[in-house]
Amino acid sequence: MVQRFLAILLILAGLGAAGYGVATATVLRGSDTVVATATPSGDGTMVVTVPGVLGMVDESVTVRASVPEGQKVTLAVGTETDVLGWVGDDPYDSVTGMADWTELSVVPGAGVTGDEAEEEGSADGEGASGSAEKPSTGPDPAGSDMWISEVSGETSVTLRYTDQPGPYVLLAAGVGKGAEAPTVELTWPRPATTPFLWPSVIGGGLLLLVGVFLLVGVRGKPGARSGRGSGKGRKPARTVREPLERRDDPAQPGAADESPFSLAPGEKPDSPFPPGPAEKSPFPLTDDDQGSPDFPPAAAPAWGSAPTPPPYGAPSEPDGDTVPRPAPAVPAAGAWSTAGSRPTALPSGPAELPGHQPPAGPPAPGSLRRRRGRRGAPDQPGAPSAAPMPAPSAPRTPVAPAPPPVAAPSQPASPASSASPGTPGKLMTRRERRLAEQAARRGNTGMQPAVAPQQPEPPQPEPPQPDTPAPSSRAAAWREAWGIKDGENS
Amino acid sequence: MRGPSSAPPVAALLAGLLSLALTGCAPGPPAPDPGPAVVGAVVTEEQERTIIGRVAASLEKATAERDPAALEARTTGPARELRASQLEVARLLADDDRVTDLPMTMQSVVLPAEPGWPRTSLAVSTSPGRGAAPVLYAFEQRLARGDYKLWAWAKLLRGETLPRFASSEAGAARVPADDEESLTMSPAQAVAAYADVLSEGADSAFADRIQDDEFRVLLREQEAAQRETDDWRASDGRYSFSARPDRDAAPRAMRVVDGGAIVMGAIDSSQLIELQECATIERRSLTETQRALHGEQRESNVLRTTFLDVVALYVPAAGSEEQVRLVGVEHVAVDVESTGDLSGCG
Repeated sequence: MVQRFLAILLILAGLGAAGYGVATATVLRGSDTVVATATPSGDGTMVVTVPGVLGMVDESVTVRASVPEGQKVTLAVGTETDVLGWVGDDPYDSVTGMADWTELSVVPGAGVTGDEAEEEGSADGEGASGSAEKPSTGPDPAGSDMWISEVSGETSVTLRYTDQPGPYVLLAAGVGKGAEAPTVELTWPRPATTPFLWPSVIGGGLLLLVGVFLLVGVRGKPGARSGRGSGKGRKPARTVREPLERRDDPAQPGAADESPFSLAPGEKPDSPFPPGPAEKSPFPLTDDDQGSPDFPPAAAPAWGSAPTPPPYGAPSEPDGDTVPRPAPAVPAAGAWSTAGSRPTALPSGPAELPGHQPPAGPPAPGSLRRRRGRRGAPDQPGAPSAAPMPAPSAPRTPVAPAPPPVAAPSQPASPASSASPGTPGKLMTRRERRLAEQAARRGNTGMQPAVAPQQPEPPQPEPPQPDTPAPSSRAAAWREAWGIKDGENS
Repeated sequence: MRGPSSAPPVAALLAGLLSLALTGCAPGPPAPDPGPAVVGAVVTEEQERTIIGRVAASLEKATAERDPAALEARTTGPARELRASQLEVARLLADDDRVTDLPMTMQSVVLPAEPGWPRTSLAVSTSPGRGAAPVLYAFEQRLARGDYKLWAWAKLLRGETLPRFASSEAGAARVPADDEESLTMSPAQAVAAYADVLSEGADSAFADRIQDDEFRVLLREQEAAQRETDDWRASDGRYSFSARPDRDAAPRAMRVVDGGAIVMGAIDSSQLIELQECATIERRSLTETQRALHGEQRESNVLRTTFLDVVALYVPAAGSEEQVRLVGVEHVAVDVESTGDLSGCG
């Protein structure tokens, strides 16, 4: 009774655990993206991240900045030095990290004070269009030489960026009259890991198996008895007595109840699905990332193009008729080749950012998971199917859980070491005797019975196979009884 | 089975397992990892290429349109002044031949290493071909919110080998114009000294500290040729050339690997030709640039041609025995005045 209760408990717990494991990879599985929003609090018009925020979850990030309808907003990525230099003394909000998985933490930015450049303003005729005194007019960072990526637009703009080494930060600015700081939303792809899938499924499977075999152990005894005394009916008294008998003989090999435990090691070769690959996942959106719109174009064409060259012989200076040319005529091209200080010519190829592609290796987690799911599924049904088998097969094979001769070495060991209650030790010998008698009878008839030991070894290492041959001692008895020579049996 | 009694414990067990697992699967949000501190150039080669490309595009457009006003966007300092004058001359002559070719394909750059502003970078172009000299440029970003602009350029002297520049990863420090400590003379002093030797020649106090160069040779040859023209003696001709540092443009200097610096500075120089009273310097004897700048002025016996020179000097590190030397120069006439008084000549 206690055993049965324990068995049911274990089965339910095993099913529950396995079910939960599967659920973590399906219905309970985390989102494939992390979306976090920064709501500006200050009175500035700009939001700046601190280094590392853009790559906090994944190196590939999509930034969206929104301002009230109709206003202009600019997103730019640059080094922290450049961005804070550009912001200068203007108030801004600083995004310092994640408050939780959906909120970015925002604090008022520490203004860069003493920026010597700021008060000179537009002395050089360049547009410092906003300053600390007029925070309501948002200066526009668009077009600065310092940004490695930028985008401007109305109401809402989106920028995709692949984080790269260096203190790169984001500057989001509401632009124009009455501008306010934009709301910034960062979206990262997240490799949705399923760390509980396999531990739960495997652990649950083990619990299930243990429970099943406990149950089988309980049921197996009456089942075996009924098989033996076919047609004679049950003798409930036996079930009560047998545990006692078992305890009398704990070291009996082939103890039936032990096999569920020995099953666990045998199960292991199936279980270690490498969980690693499932956690990495290629995110296609990183691929096209840094082809971002306006980074190279402006530069690329102009870089290689030289302005229309006048002949060197006609220097620009006012030389000529009356006065020798003062121009530093340095025509010798050959001489220059040595003058070229270093061969470190800038590469003139199109701008390419260093590799930001994610590793292409592992397959998408989804497919892998599915495949595993399929693989995993049979395991569980497999156990139950194996479990009831002892009862029906009782007539042929004395005790199902007995390890096969060629099974994993741990299996024979563990049953021997600790025979748990419920092992019908004596039953086996009786059954053997009975079977031997049957065999002897059949042998007299010359008929060859479909006997388990003769059947080929099942490929599975799982012991609870119906066709599992008896341990060598019993097998020897079989052989002796049937006159089978060694070698035929394996 | 004896089922009913087993249900509550099983449920409790399941609930326990579930809650255990659920609590385990909610890790806190990640913290930003700022990565290692980055030292080195504050402008990457990639950015520099973008910057130079933008400057080149703007300059090319202004040149093509001969529009000095269009230079505003991407040139400043001596470069803007030089180019504006050249474009004006080109417009007057309807000819671009005298507009300096500024190839913007760079073979080498010196990037700024300091985070503040203003920022200066140098670049050396490849040779534009046809025997033309490579050009050394200085770009400057004056304010964080400003654009990089071309501040000056100078054509490298023939056979000049520039000192080794700092790597583009490390960047180079800007040398303050008044830094006397680290160099044999401060950038400002070097430019002033060079202006002095232009004016005074061998009589200059700096004559032995500044290496002679082909630019000075050319100026001397120019003077000699002027003195040998016909009627020079007969008209009592006098020739003088004077130079002084441009007050509006403090030199820009960048450190090079050997501890010295490449200094770019502007020098205002003027050539004065005086003949005896009532003689005239004929317009047809002038260069085309001078003629364009001369415009409708009346010919007279005094002609002052004002030049704006950009000089690129190598100034050795303090303690070095080396002389300051010119590595590149641009010498452009920006004004011509005919100032003689012909009132008494009938």
